[in-house]
Amino acid sequence: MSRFICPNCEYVYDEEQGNPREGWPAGTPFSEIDPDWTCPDCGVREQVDFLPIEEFEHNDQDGNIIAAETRAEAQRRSAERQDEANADVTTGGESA
Amino acid sequence: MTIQATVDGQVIQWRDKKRYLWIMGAIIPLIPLMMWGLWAWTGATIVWFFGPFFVFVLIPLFDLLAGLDPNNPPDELIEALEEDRYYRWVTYAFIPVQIAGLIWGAYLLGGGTLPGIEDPLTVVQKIGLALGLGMVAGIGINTAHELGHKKEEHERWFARVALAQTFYGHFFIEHNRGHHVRVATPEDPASGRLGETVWEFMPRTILGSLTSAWGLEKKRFERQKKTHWTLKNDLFNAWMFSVVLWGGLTIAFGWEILPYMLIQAAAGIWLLESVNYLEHYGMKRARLDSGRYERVNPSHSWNSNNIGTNVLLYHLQRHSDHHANPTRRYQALRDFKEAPVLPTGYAGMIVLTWIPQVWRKVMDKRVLGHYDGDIGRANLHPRTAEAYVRRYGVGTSKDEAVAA
Repeated sequence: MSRFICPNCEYVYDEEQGNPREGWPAGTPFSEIDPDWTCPDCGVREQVDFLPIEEFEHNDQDGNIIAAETRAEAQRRSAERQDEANADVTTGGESA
Repeated sequence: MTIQATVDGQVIQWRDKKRYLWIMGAIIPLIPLMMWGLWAWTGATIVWFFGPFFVFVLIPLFDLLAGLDPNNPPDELIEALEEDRYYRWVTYAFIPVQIAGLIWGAYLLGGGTLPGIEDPLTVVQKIGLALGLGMVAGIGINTAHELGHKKEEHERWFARVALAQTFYGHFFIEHNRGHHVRVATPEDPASGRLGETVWEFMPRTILGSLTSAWGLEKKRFERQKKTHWTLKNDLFNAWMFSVVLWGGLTIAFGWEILPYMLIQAAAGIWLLESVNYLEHYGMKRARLDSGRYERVNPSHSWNSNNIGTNVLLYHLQRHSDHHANPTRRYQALRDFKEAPVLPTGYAGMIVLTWIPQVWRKVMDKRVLGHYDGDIGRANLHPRTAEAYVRRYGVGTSKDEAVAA
């Protein structure tokens, strides 16, 4: 059972306990929660914005909003860099 | 009193200059008692209208004279500042004074007399008194707003008590889980649109917020696979406070108070919703490729550093920080240099909303400037959108000009 944290207000969703008040009985996996379910404490982050608690370093209260889109953008960039690096290796190999 | 924290071996100290000024927030619910004193002193009927005079004349004047307060606590001390319990007790103190003032007012509305008020009030005097109680009620919604955002369950119950006077118990549900989610989008009933008058906005926000709150609680109970017709429904348990309060006052002072109770509730709701109207007037969040709106950032709210209104409304005007970090306590809210700023405090701005031509003259150019002259990026009101587009054109922002 894992725990997920709201990157804004640090509310923690614990799969073991669920959140019965919100309609998620104990044991509800986080992946089964509606993607547009909003954080019950701050209301300004949604299920897709939550982070596995192991990956959480600090909240985004002072800018650098941690949201699903910013993470996707970061992943896309690092993938691009990886592709470029691979491409360099390939072209280097051909010229030699 | 100085707050300090040690960060990386360095001691950081800061003194909150507003620390004791926050108590001023609790003088608002004393407005009814001020009327008592003024009446005993002057005997002039006009003093029963002291409430609206205080909010719409004295506070705006005070804002103009007292000026701006851009002081921010250091980032390192925000946590310590939030933990200081003194600040929450200041907000709790508001509520008993508010309820006591209402009981006192209801007694007079029911025809009661007191030392200094030898005869029962006339109808005109009662209307003035009801408007004054309404000013307290509206600012009580602001106190409820501060408390309803907090993670502590008891503070959310205090919020319900502060909302009882206006029968606006659904506010803390709709505000937290509706307004904050959809703020500065066309879908939000409580965000004013560019070209919308406050008179059009009122029915839209009052009805829209009520139906939205209803839907939010219904959805929550549907997920639980239970009926939402239960006192566990936060709408019903919040409204119960109003039923008890209004019912108790009616039994104690007679049904004659009910028309005046309605006047004071309407005045309070009007005051609160006027603030909703101006806080996000014209602001719109961009839609992302994912189909969601961009996360709320400081550019989506109107702010003011006028110290008068800020002290009386618990930093409500540091609205950008509030929307970026909704659970942050009022004393720790900061001024963002990059956030859009109103020409004066919220109290004075409300007065401008009454005459839409004046409001538009002051605000439209500011909204336009905020979006670099591109009216298409603002939250346009359907009725007037065409006229605005014709007048200002769309897609002429600097960014797009460069891209073209």
